[in-house]
Amino acid sequence: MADVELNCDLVDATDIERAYLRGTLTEADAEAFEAHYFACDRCWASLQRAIEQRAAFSGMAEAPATRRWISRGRATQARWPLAVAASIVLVVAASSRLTSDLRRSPAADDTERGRATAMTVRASTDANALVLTWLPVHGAERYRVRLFAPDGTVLIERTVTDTIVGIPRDSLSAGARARAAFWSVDALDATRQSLARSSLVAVTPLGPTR
Amino acid sequence: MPVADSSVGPADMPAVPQPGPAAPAAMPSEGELAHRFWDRIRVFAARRLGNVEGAEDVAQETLRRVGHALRTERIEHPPALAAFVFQTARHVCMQLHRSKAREHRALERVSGDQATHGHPSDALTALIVDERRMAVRTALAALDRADRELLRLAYYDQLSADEIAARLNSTPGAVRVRKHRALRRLADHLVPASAGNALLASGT
Repeated sequence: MADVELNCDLVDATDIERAYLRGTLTEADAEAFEAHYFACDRCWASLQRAIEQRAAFSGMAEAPATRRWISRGRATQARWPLAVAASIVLVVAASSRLTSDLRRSPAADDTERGRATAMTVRASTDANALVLTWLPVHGAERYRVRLFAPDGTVLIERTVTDTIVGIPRDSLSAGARARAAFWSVDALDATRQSLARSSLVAVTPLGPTR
Repeated sequence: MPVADSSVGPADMPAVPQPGPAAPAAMPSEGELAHRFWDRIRVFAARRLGNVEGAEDVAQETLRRVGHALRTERIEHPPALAAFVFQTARHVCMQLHRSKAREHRALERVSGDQATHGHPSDALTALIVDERRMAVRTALAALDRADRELLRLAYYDQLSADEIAARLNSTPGAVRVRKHRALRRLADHLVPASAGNALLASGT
């Protein structure tokens, strides 16, 4: 298939999406499919849906956890701190996430993106919601806010243009409400480059919905 | 190469729009570029690298390079943009993969641990945040049992239409039609993604 340009009819006829998700395609065929969905909104939408459904069924089927952070030889859980105290205000410095190797790459263009910027964030909880606020970052067009479980699972993600996010308690599963969680905020420019990032801000377990 | 299913016929499928590849009329802004390609690059990179964080690094670096190419007018024709983004992402992935491979070999020499390789789908499903999984599960629970079972066979067990048809004592064509209708009913139950939350848990 590497020599044949894929079209939607061929994608449907050969069931290539399923083989792609199963990891049974040759690398050449996988690349051909990838090149196709970069250009084709229809096949991209179908692939997104398939990934989403598989993720949803993983929990419903009581299968062994399929969600893993595959970090070679290292347990990703070790990156995340254990549950600590109550809502905290932190002032932190953040910088670009690019690896040092990419920065040194001769193919890398331009000056290094990302600069150390202090982010002030404040987390709080009330009867109905978790709330996170922060001071604006110069140059940021939007902010990506994530709520993590202690094992690194992303529980909630929002991208907003304001400097406040409120998450209703009901948005979280019962299991997530019973554990500690951690906020993180990224300030992003128009191309989603990270200008600044907060450190993890701890939130106490919420308990059952009141 | 996967074998074409000769039982598929146009008459088996409901008529649906087939827009085919999308070709933007003009070069997008950098914001539009990110909106269009951010998740595609993440999926592409997650499959290759096996982790979400690396995938995001690739997406950021790819968009940075493509944005630069747009500003310096190195991409002449809008239809060529998708291919340019793809090739850039591919190159960035290769660089990162080589870098990580060197790092991993160094760690293995120190720790003696072998690399753990998960199924490619693990890294892709890890892109879906918990909130969205819950929303989809809620919508799936609202379907009737037959619809839910069909979608589970297709998306979780990843069976082909032929395999599902054999299991359900049906035909591949009928399975495809039922699947299409089940997906439509599922879409009716799905709450639209929250503001700033696109399908694959990255904002717009």
